[in-house]
Amino acid sequence: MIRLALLLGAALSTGCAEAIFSIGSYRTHDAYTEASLGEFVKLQAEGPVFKADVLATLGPPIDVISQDAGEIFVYRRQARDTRTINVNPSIVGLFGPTPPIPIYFVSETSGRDDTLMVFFDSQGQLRGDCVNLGIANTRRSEAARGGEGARERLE
Amino acid sequence: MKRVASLLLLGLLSGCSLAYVEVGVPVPEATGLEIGRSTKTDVLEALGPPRLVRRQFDGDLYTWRRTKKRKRSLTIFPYAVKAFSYSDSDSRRDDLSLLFDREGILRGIGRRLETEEDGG
Repeated sequence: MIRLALLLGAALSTGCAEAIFSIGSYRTHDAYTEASLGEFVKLQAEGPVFKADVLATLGPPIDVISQDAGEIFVYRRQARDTRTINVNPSIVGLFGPTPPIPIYFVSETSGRDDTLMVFFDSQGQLRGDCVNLGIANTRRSEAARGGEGARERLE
Repeated sequence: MKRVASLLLLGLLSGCSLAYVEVGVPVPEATGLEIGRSTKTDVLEALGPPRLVRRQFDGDLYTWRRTKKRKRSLTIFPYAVKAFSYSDSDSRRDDLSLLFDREGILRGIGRRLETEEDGG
């Protein structure tokens, strides 16, 4: 019992920087909503579309890329999920300061984006668009599943 | 008594942290500005300097922006050996973009307010 108390005391009196198992998750703003995308599609069906129309419908772009003759408005949402397992003597303060050499370390990061690009000619008229929806695609990554799952549970 | 002890133990065995970062002032309202009439000078007088100016073939895009970031984390047993740590963070922004033609006349307005969502 005394040994256990001593071990616990030693453990509580030391600090450490990392956890054995950690999950990190990061999301940026919403690039666009289903409603604004729907309006954008409707707008294109109605006739010629110009920058001012796109700005009013989709809001300010996160980036503007200049091309040889025209610009691209970029709307983007980013998702980054990390899953790390770190078994390392240095994170166990019981043995005093030890070098950070891992016994077992595995880290997986998943970076996914939703991107909408809207192409304009030099007169500011819309000439095309393309969409990539990657954030919901969590199938191939444990980190993505872990981050998305934990977020859903918390919310 | 047991319940209180369990809650106390759980409290001692986990740690939470919250951090907020805010960059920029609230984006202004584009009131009093008229598409097809207001000039860059009118806009700058009314709204002050923009955070971003982007040159384009057919004019410029001025953007006023505020960004808010939030990070929260939970660590189970945050003393000697941290068993489990979870952290998530979000970044949201408020943007007001004004589109000008080559003559500097206001041609379009775009606005997006996200920082007040979710009580952010």
